[in-house]
Amino acid sequence: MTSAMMQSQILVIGAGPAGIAAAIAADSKGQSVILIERAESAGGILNQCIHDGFGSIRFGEQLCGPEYAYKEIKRLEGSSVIAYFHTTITEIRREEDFFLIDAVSPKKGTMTLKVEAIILATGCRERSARQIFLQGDRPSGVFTAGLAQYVINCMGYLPGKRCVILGSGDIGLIMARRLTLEGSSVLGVYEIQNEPSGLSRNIVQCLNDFGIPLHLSRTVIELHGKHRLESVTIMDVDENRQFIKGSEQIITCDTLIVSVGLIPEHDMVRELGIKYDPHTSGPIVDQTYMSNVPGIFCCGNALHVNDLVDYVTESGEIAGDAAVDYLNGIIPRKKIELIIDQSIGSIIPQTISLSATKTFTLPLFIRSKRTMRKSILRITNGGNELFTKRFNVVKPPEMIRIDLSCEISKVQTDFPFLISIKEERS
Amino acid sequence: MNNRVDRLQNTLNRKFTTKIECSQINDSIRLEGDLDTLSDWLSAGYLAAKDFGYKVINDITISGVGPTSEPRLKEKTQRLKKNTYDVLIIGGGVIGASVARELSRYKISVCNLEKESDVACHTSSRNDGMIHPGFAASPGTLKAELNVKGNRAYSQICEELQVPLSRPGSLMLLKSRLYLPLIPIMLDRAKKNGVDGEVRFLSKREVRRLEPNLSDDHFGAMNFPSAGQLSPYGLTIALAEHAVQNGVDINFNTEVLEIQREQDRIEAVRTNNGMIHCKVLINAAGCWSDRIAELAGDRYFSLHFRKGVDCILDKALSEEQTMIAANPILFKTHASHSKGGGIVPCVEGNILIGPTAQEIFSRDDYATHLEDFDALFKIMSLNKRFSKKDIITYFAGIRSCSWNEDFIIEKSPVLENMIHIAGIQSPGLASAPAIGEKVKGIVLKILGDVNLDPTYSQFRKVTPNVSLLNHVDKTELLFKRPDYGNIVCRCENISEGEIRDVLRSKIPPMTLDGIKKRTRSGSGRCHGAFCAPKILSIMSDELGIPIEDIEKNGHGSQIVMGKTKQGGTHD
Repeated sequence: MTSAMMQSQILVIGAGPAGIAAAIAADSKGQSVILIERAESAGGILNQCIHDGFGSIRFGEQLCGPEYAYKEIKRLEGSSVIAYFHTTITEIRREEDFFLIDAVSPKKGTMTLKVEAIILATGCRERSARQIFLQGDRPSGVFTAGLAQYVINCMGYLPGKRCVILGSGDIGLIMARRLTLEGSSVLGVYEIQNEPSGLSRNIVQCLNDFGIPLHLSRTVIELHGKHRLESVTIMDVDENRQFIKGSEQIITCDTLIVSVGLIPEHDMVRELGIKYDPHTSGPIVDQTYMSNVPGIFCCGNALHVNDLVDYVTESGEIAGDAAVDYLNGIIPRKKIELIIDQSIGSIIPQTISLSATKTFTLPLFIRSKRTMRKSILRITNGGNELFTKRFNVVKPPEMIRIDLSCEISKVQTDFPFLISIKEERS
Repeated sequence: MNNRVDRLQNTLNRKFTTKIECSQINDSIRLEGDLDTLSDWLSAGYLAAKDFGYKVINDITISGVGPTSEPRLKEKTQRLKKNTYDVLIIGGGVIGASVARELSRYKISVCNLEKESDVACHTSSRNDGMIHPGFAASPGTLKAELNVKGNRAYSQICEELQVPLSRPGSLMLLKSRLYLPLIPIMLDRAKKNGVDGEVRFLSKREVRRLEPNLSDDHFGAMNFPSAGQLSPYGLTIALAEHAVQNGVDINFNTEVLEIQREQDRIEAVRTNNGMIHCKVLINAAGCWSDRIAELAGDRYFSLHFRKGVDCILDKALSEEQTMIAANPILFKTHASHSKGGGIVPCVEGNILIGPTAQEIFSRDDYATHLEDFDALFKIMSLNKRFSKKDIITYFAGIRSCSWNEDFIIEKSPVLENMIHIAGIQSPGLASAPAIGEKVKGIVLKILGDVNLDPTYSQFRKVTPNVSLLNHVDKTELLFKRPDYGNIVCRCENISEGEIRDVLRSKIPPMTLDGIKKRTRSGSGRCHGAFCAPKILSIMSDELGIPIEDIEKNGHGSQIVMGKTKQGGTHD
């Protein structure tokens, strides 16, 4: 019995939309690419998203998750990427100028890979009920929205019959509709913030169309039930998110669906010394999506949580292209930091590396921190205005994507780029 | 009327405006009446304990309410394995399992009864897993004696059971200069208790060198090198499995409803699943041990209950602290009988913070509350690297406490073949091996002529822990068993093969929590969001039960509620 030893220039981890795009991009530039996926097939979380709304930017049509995945998988199958499914990476070691990766799979047993660059396309995980400090008992019947989605759509089981949904994230809204269609009664969606955290179209299509109430500034604080969930206590919060005493109410239910945010997942590289951005919870990257560890790139929801899969695919392509440039020795000369003020929740990338080219164009992905009407986004550098754009409304759930074009000769490279959004007074 | 009772009655009369009646029953004192607060209720119990030790029966109600009572299993769930045993042990916690394992060395028939569907469902799975050095309890107490003995015994037991044990040692941080003159007294106490290892005082600088991330807000620390840590449920499961491997029976979902006596002898026990006769009955029922004594008509003590909440931090922080650190309350008031909680690096790599201590009027209220976190955050602040966002989960456990706060481990004063083990609070886990040993001695005395069983096997049979294997061994193993290559739990790297192994073990878990306790799948940062569906499918396949029937922790805690709308068929 021997362990398989394999070698390629680039390893892509995760065969969801980001990983597929990254692998194809790198492959099309002639690099050898291995793609590793722990599930038995490609597509990632798209496979459990049987609702529509995917692909309007990329394909100009409304697809369901598996349809979008299918289109991408077909492209993957037409490439020369070597994909290993049902394979889990157990360790990544960084050597002098390459990486050694141990993996296991039921078919191939143990294997070791030697690669020069790694693209992380490992997606994200859901913030759990414990991570938002839900108190009370620990009964069954508490699901994260994605788990409930998998249980219904991929396994064919019903999480419960009387459901409360905590958090107005997109998956929670979609599950409110899905559970209703499956015959469960959804008693309401509770959101601690004073505005919904999901896309407006999901509020309309998943709640309003089904008469499901959305309660803002109201949240679940305690679970009751020693075995199966029996009820939850809900409470109002004020504008500072402090609980308002006396507003407690107990709701009888057997199921709580928790949709309170996603966290980029890249724990397998944590030990390699990656620097993280507290705003995105993903690695700090430049416009090539390379982290501070040379040769490690990151894209998709592992980099920052996106609301549209179209952007996820785009980020995969950027990372795939850039990994090839990196292997070809295109080394940037100088880094400029992008600094956000308190109007902005997060930005990707967090730095820009200047190379020999005279001009550059790069997409910036920006999330505002709060809802603002009639506002203007500004990017300045050493006092000079590089970019402005006006928006009728910006909302935290809806990511802003802009293309920033600059002539390098006009950039003061010793100064950072400052990014802000301000409401204009009329 | 004797002096002690009169004296107590006078004290209670002075202390409380409402009348508390004292009455003596054999050697015990019974308190009756009604008080307004839990704190008064406790004061009354502790006052009685001053003269009567643990032999206090506190039947005082609080605003007319007695302690909550729990529903009982009434329906028959299964056939009992046998109906007659030499020794019957009530309770499948760490104490019941430790006693069972000790007795399995002998040629006697032993059976364990557990009302839950698994071992370690209550206090034994709800604590910090610390193997205390044996310093905290006062010299001369049962706690002090058994803790030191138990701590010492763990090295060999964990070897025999193949249970991971760490001995990182502990630091008792001294938060005030006032504590410094007490150092010789503390060293003397450690010596009197017989604490293992070189107990010594470390200066602030020495502490900083050992644990650079600890807050500097102290004046040095006492160091106890023998302090250890293990998984309390991992240990309990291993003890029980080893006992079963050596011939002990366990009946799960079996609750004692009645205990039948022939004068001062226990004859049989009636359960929801039928009658069981025995020569010796051992009460190892944890928080319910006073209830079991009552069923035997032998209620000469009562218990009170102290909840403790612990929280667990992400494994990514495992490097940030290696030693156990606590910030104990040295000058105790009677309201605080806890050691105050600490930071415990667990053998699995997570950091545990806790436990808190809060008296409650219930023996099974495991709910946590936001207020518990004030104390936890305070403990957490002992290490500069830890913050709120690192918490991946939290849980509560309940300490069952006697009125003098010491263990009760003895043959009943009245019944000739019943043994009570009660009030096993901290350091109960650390003392468990010594408690097993002590109870074994009492059993052998009752039974008389008993021989060692020559077929006893010293080591527990275990299945591989794949993530700990080296590359060559792993390669070979995966060739034979490809299911070890199918990683099901991504956070803890647990394979399908390991889950199938525990489902084929001596005590196969029937619940999702049972799988979690044995394999750690679902204990990581995603907390089961990714692995739960896969584990349900494997359980369904291996146990031959539909997914709808699989429970989280028994008693109707199903995970899913039936199938989705099935739709029509395509013809």
